[in-house]
Amino acid sequence: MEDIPRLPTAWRPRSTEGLERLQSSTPARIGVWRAGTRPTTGQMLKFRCDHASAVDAVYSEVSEELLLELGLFTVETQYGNKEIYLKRPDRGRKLTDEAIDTITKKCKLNPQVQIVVSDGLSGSAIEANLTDCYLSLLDSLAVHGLEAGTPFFVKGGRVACMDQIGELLQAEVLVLFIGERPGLVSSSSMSAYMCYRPRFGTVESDRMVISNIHPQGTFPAEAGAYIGDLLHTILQHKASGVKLDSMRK
Amino acid sequence: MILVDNAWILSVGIDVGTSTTKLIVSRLRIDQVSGPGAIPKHEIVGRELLYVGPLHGTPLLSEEEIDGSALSEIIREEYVKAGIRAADIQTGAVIVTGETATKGNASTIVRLLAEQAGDFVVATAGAELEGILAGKGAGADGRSRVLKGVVANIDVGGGTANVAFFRNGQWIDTVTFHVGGRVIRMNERGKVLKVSPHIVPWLTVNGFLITPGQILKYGQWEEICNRMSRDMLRYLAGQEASLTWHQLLLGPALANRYPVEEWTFSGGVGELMGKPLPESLDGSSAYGDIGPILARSLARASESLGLNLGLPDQTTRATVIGAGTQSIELSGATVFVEESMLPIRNLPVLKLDLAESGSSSFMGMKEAAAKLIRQGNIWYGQSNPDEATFAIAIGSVGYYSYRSIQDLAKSLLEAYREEEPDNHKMVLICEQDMAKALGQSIYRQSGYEMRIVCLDEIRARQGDYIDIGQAPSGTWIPVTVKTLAFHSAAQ
Amino acid sequence: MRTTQLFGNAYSFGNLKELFAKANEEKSGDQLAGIAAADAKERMAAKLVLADVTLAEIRNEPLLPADIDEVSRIIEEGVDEPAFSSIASWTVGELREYILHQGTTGRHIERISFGLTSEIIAAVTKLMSNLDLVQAAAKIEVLTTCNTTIGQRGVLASRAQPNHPSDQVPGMLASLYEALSYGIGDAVLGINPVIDSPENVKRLLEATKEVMAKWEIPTQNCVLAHIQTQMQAIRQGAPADMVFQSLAGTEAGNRAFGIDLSLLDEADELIRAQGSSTGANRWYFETGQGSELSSESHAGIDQLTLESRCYGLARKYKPFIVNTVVGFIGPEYLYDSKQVIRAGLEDHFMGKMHLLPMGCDVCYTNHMQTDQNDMDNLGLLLGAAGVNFLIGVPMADDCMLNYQSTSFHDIATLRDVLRRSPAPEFAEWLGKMGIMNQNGLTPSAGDPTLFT
Repeated sequence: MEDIPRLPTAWRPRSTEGLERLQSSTPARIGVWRAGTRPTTGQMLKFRCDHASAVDAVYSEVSEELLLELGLFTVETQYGNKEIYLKRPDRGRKLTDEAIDTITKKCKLNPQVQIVVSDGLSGSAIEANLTDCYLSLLDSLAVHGLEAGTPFFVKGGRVACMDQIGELLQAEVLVLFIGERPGLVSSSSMSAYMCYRPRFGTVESDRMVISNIHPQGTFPAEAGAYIGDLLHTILQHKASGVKLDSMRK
Repeated sequence: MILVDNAWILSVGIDVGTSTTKLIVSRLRIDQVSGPGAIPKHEIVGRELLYVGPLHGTPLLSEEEIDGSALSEIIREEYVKAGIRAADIQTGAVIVTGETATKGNASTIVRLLAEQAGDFVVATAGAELEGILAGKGAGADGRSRVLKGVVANIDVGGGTANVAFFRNGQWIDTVTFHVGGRVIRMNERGKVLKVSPHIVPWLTVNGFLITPGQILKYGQWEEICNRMSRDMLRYLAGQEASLTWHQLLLGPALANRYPVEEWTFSGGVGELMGKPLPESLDGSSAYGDIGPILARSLARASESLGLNLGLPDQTTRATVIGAGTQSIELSGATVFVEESMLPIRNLPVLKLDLAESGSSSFMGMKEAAAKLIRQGNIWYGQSNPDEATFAIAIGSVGYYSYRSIQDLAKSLLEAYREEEPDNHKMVLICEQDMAKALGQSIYRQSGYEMRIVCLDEIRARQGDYIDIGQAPSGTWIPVTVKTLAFHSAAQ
Repeated sequence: MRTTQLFGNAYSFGNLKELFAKANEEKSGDQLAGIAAADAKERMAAKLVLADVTLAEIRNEPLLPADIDEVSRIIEEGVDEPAFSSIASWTVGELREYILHQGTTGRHIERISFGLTSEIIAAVTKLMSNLDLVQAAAKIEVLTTCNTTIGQRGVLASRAQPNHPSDQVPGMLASLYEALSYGIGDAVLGINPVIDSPENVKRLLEATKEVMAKWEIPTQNCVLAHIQTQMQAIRQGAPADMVFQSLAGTEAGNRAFGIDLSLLDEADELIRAQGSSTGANRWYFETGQGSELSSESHAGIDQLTLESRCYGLARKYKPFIVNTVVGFIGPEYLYDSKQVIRAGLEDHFMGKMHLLPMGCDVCYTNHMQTDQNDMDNLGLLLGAAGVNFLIGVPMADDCMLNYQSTSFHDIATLRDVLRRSPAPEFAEWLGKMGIMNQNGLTPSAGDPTLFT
């Protein structure tokens, strides 16, 4: 007679308490057990869910409501479509002619602080974190007596699109909020890049960044207040990035 | 503050105990612990003992009174031996402990020492803090972080046993007992020399009617110490307690019971527990008190209760090392600080109760804040209408929005304006990383009138006192949270 | 100028650099650099022309002259002249056939390897199919020894990568225990730190060393900080079995990493004098197609050839392990699973042709057109090709570097499916610990509390 198929008994670690301790010490996926040498069904599917959320974040869009609420108008880079955006970072650094036109018409020239927002690699990061960070930044700028120019949203932007915008508006300092490459821990993490007088040919080491802005990382409200401080420091020293670091040492 | 070098600060610890006085000098290394792209964060990453002084007998003028000038002299000599000047010291703690701390002149002496011991040495006393510092000096806080469970340290000195419970590196509760080596003094023949009045009620209800001059056999001494150990440890271990344990209690009992993973014993008696001791009066009388017999009793009682004993980092000097190296912490990196208000010393803390967790708990806090301010003014008075007479501590709520921060700012500001219209100074201690957002929001809403010190990542409780130092480079601010220091004096 | 006729069209290639680039399989990085073939036919035309180029021609027409680039110089100086002259007249097509010939064993390849420049190895790679790359690489056995020896035929070793988002030792150890409980960690216990300071590197090295000592684990440790930081830590007495460095295929690319030859030489001397290991191989290198373009130091050379040049440089230092982090760089260099799989096989083959102990970080980021199934495929292909080691990350999800690699489960599975075992000394230890036996994982394997 054939054996009746039987499920293996549920796993019990040598020390349940010990396992909890290990698991609470790291966000890594440990103590997950196995089916033979493969992951258990639940763990495998959870991993795939997180990946699905990350992939979708890459293709997510920032909503009109958010942009309207914060009073941001929209321009585009030459990214074309998402595939080209991913393959050709250079295209995400260049504004369309129409964008140049709109920005020139709508924005205050020579702003002390220019705020720019872009979806980058995660529109959902902007959706989730921009409001708190932005409102906090505005208060911080007010406290420091700094004046912000006309803020706007750049669809399909890369970090270095700062240079062309800085050039166009002759901004003294520019901060770009941009969606980060999604991870499995958070598909909605935002970065803030800052640069003193970004212009064509600006070197990467002149930029500085606060990354990992999201509810499981640096809280957006506190990040916004800190970014305001940093912009103030940049303007005081007339330098950003490595140059600023060396001046402050 | 002067820096020893870039990231080291010099810290001193002085423990004036019932029987001995100890001094240590250490240096603390402060380092950036955040990676690129993160908001800079500093932590104390290293603690190095530079000098460990010998044990001095605590100089007493009488049974009740510490000899201040003799103590000053001891400290002066210790500084010379350690090769430091008072002006070099940036932080640390003087702590008057055990039975000495209850003596009437303790706080005066603490103040006297604070002046002599350096610019930023905190003056403090109290059994709770003593227990916490001893626990930290013994390494129980670190063990609890590693074990991710509760670790209790029992610091048994001359007059008291100070117990501190730690979970995940944070202290969670303390309790103190009149259990110590010197609660009864004796000689090598078993003759009772002196009985501390604090222990008399316990002795009496247990039927140990002993008086000075009486001679007890080794077995009788052992019986007293066994009973004392069992009474204390059964209670601590959450086992059915005797009817008499509370006679040993000094101050309040534990707020809760805790599943303790590991126990450590420190203090002079804790030190003896690790040593082989002869079971005889002769062999136990080296200190002229019950210390060695008590040590053996504690070890035996621990074993029979099945307590899991760990090895402490320090024993005799746990408290002084804790005081010297563990009494300061650093505020979070993003703070909102009116520098002219610093340093701040001995400011009492009021805790704002948040009804729930989550962002909405910051809404509509005005009434609660106003009530707290009224309470603060009753407790701590208001000598100068334009001085912050207390700090408000704000607990953790999880994720918060900026709009909810603005709400909280509005509530606090309105409450201050109503209760203290002439006060333009506010000190806030947030548990969660939010100080810069909250501080700037209050400042802006006040029309840039309010002067604010708002710090974060500091946990303080109602009734604590805090010292806030100056930031040497604007990147981190040293803070000392003192538990129940001079509590009775202030109220 | 080289020309050919194909499908009635005339194709011409101005120089070897252009020919090399256009003969590559499609890669978004070559397209981004503007050097890729315009279409499939031009790609084939380039391959046809390349097949007839002789090895001597390649050596005589350097893509990046040795007098202006120190990587070129190292490659050129490394050529064994008698070995080269014996095959100099071969065409690239003939070299492919020689490698694949049934009578050609690993020993034979070893003998000609010293006569090959990195560019020649890149050239032949361009003519090989994926299965060619698997079969040819599988012939070559590369053994290296740090504290233990890996690379034996039938062995699939692994790096335990117990990263933690804030370098906390208990959290790092938790992942490490999980790794060990699956039999992972025989190649190295290697941590990518968040904070690049000597103190931090020292702390992590000490923590891994403690675990190795406590459980008597036959393996080696490494913390993948910048090389200067590692050197400072070692000088402060940190126990490092190896030094780590990322390599680029040009001098300018290496400068972008903050290194040059003299720094590598200095580190080499230091780790030989003060390393805590016992064996002759004390380097861990990482590479990956596209890094030169990303730092704009590619000199117009295609990313495959530049990758091969990394191996030419690596060879000088006799590393214990070399790892191509194939899918980390992003879709602008390797767009989808097809390109990543191809690059993984190319890199492994080219490394082995340089007689390097090649491993692969079979990995991807979330903005690439690929997923974990593709990693399963590449892992299996590389396993069949005899890859020396793979990277073990808890459930393939690196919570610090934010990308996905291969899991402890994956490596255990590949060992099972392909009948590979952990490195011998490590396997013996796993047996002693009751984690593995001749049938594979034991019932108690996979329980990290074995180590608590």
